[in-house]
Amino acid sequence: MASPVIPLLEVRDLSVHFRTEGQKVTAVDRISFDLAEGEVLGIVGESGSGKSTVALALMQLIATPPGSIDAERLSFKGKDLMSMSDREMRAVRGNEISMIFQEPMSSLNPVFTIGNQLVETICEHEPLTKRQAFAKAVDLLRLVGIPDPEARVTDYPHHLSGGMRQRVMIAMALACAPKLLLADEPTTALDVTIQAQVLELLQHLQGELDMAVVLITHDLGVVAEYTHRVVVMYAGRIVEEAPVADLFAAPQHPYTELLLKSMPPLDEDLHRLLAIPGSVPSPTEMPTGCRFAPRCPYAQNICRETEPAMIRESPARAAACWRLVDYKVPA
Amino acid sequence: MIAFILRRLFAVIPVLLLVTLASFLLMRLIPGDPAMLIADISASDAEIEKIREQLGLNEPFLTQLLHWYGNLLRGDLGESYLLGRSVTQAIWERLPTTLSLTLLSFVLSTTIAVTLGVIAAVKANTWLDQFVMSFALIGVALPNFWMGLMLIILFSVHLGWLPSGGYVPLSEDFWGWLRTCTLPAISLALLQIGLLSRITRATMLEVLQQDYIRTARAKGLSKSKVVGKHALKNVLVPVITILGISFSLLISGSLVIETVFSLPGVGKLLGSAILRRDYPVIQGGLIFVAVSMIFINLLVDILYAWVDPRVRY
Repeated sequence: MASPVIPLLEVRDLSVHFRTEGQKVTAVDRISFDLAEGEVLGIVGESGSGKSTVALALMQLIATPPGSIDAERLSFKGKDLMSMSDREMRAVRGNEISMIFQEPMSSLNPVFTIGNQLVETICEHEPLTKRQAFAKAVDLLRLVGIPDPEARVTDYPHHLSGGMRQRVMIAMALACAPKLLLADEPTTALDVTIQAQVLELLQHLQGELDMAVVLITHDLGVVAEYTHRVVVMYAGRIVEEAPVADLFAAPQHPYTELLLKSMPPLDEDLHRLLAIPGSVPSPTEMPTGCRFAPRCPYAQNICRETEPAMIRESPARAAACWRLVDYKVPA
Repeated sequence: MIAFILRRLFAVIPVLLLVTLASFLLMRLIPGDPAMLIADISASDAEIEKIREQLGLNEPFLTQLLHWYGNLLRGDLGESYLLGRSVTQAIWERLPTTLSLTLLSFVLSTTIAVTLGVIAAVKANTWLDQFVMSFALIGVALPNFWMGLMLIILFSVHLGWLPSGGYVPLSEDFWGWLRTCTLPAISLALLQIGLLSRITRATMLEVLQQDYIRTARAKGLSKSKVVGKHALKNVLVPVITILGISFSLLISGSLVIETVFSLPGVGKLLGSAILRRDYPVIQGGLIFVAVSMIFINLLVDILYAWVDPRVRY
């Protein structure tokens, strides 16, 4: 029996394929997760694990062709995003679901003022006059902590620093009070001190506006600090899903375990950073069996032959590893 | 900005000095004697010598040059040897024709080329893209005078829709003006359309890959707004740079096209002046061409700063 509360976002068996030069590669492979209203979900994984592709697929912003999106279910507030027309989807984008990107330096259009770009978003989704929208744009800039917003609103992106530009991107994403914000590595391109400021701002606004956030990152420190629940992705698959405290306390998947071990500890002198040997397999050369097996210190024969299913220990906790199925596999 | 414009206007002076010096030298290096061409076939040597004397052609080269520069400073381009009027007047009379031709063909080529380039980029790698780009290639490959002749054969000779030549001033009759200017403007525009549409397509394809285009789409904007506003203004930045060069090609092209369509323009004036060694007209015409190039490129630079806020002078 499914829970009577419809989750804000329901993803079932979402796959994204790309067809390049006659070859079909799978960037995201049958992933499923839910997101409740006001929840902050972290998606973690190395580069190439498909985490950004998930966000773009949710926005239906994958270029088709060469891409194609399959999903058994991809519903937002009970509405199926897959069956929406282009016009219906545009009414969702930037309005109910917003996205901010990794590169603040290039994500704003260099030839329009930031005011213009904000007003445009507002007017696209709300029945306001240009003047009202402009006033709202100034308010939004103030909300995201841009000093002297009345003056900045007529600035061009090149007048602003990276951190300020990312604040503008956040203001633009929040312009229509979305229920869901997809933040794709929002601080990766910023200085460490600015990173913290931007994340604090996001956290503050998330609470204030009660929106759900999908925070995509490769930084486990960020995950620990700012998310409620975590999905760990590896090579296009979800390998583990857990509340953030559980994940850090007792990772179930070897990949998660190694990711945690590779975090530089703050409280001791570090002579050598632990790295996970090898790299994420290319989508064209996926290993059979568990995709992590070639890099896994615990890998057994069965791991190399058959892919493990997600084993759900509790509603919030699951992992895909043979060790969870059968601890009697000879060591 | 004002300082920039003034600086650019001052830069006109050395350019003009060089242009006039070059034309002075070249015309006197090639064989031909204006006095012989002015005089009757039956004229005696003494009569020719007298004409030469009148025109000041017996003076030393440097004296002639300085004399001409002196007049130029007073705004006097001199008298034509053959036309019986001042050079300024001769150019002034023919200016509307040349302006009509170049401007019409400039407007035509720019609008058509940018539209075609954008369509080709948005529909990249489809049959429409290939069709548009093949058309553009034809435009680049075919010489404009040949294109002009073909257009005359088709539209004037066979279909009889448009006149094969002549010019009706805009002030007299708009439709007559348009009818006489259309074919020459098209034949002049084809090369530009070919060049510009290919550049527009390539730039648009690059711009469509940019992060800010993804942002614009993530905001929920329609494809037409994303392409027509966010992408197009960025595409115009490099395209405008090309427009300056494009316009100078139009001016040099008009020299040939005016002859093909027997339009009484500056190009035709300059062409016949060269054949008849009408030195003052040649020099005046070249100054006109040089000044218009400088002026157009100044406009382009101003436009550039207007389109791209990152450009400041």
